[in-house]
Amino acid sequence: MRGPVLMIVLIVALAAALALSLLVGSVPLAPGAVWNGLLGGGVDAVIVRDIRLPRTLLGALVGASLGLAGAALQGLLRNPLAEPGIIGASSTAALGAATAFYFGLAGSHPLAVAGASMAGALLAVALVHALAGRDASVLTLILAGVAVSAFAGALTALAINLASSAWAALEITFWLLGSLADRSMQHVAVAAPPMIVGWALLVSCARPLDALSLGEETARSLGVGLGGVRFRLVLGTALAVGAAVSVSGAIGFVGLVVPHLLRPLVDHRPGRLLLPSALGGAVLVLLADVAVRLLSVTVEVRLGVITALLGAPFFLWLVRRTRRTLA
Amino acid sequence: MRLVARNLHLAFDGRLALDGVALAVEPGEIIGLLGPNAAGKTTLLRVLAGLAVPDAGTMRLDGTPLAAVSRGVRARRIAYLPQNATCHWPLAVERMVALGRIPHLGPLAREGAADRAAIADAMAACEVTHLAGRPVTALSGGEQARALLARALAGTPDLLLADEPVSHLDPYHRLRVMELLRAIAQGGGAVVVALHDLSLASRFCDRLVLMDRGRVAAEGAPAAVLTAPVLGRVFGISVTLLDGGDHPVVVPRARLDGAAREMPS
Repeated sequence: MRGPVLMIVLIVALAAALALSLLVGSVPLAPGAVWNGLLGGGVDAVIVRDIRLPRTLLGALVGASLGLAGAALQGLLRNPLAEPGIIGASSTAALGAATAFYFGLAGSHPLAVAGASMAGALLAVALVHALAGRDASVLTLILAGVAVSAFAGALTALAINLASSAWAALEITFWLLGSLADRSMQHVAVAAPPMIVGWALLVSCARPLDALSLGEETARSLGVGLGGVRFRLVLGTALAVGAAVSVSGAIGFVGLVVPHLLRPLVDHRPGRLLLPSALGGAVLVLLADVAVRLLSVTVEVRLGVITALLGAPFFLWLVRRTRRTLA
Repeated sequence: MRLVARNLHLAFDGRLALDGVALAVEPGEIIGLLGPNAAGKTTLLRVLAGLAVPDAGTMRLDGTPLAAVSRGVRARRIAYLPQNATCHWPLAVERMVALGRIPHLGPLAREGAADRAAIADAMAACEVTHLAGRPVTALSGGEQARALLARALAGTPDLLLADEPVSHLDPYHRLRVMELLRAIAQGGGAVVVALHDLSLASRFCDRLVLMDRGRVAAEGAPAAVLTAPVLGRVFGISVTLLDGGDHPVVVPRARLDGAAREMPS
């Protein structure tokens, strides 16, 4: 599929997913009522504008961040099995949120959890850079990310372990499963700016990512300043993914699956994969969240659970196929 | 283009990888870089390509210190083909070759007519035009070597640094790649190529630089460098030289007794 055609298809799919996300909810609303509500008229305005619209916008923003960061990191690491969590930003963001819950800050301000989570993601950048150094190889970067992830995971487990009550432990655990329910426009306002800065940083690396197809040495010989590119990618991922985790919890597999599905459609060009992956990620998260709403009759099925249920079998298939090509 | 390097020193882990190396590269010549493993060939190429910074020494590109040449200008003038070069994604050959144009593209610019012409020329020179749409990863070793060479040439460099570009190729494709390198030199470009095949170096290179433990052990025309005493001292082997003349064929015969070839640790 040629580039422009793919982009048009994805934009149409995104528009459809956005519309679907606005149309589906616990209160059945006709499309006309949703449209009127969106414009601010009628009795359904509260439902559409205060409940469904922020949820829809967040779904698109979170999905785009995860898809874009996944595509960028797969390009940087030249590995189709890389995902945004590999540099540690997701788990440190989760740790930030868990800390906020643990110290009872969650109730103090509606955005306390998001703020703590964002701070955690930025801490990951600092840690990974301190550990790996500016001129480090990609392998050192991954190892640093894994170490930071493992430590953040342990501390998150500790927060659950030492939680003051079973309910408090459950609150953290549930939050970590990922959800877009009961979010407000405040969440959109706090998540969008760091995401947009992160997207800009990631997209600015399109050409260096192309050059990296030939390996780090050749990329450098082509004039690519690898240290700066790596820093932009790590910071951009932490901003975008950190902001995503801060408002939605952990939503796995989107950053892994989406770039992988779209890669053959852009002729495997890492730079060309970025924007389609952002659009594809938004579509996937929106659809998964619609599924959440349809499946959640008595208990809310968490968004992260749905994406993992879809993503893990795909991952197995991916491993199987990779094994076959390597053999 | 004239590249002059003097007195290059570079230490890794307390060992001198380059210990006072000097090299002058003139347009239109192929220089063969020879030497045992760990002699410093790759390090020298990486230093010339700007991928490693020497601890001491000077490098001048047409009289300008290389350190003062911007990364972009350097990338346009000097192309580097690393050992075991590869492409990590199954890009189409034409797209992979196009990556060689990156130093010539502005931050947001798309490929223009000049870029497309350079890509087509490089593919034609390396005889991979008919493979343009094929994934690089699906090519045979010989085809892939030519495609990767085309990538290096697409940037229309003045100097090509190639690190063992033929070591994994069969004799037919070795000759084919060496002929391509010679054509580059005949077109006015300069080539520095690291080789392990002494006879191939003898046949195709204008000048040989034989390295040993970070130093230049011998330098000059093939017949002057490829002599039994020199090869015995540097490689620790006895050889039979056939075909005499300016381009001797080197047949390794036996390891010399007592030749301590292991690097001191």
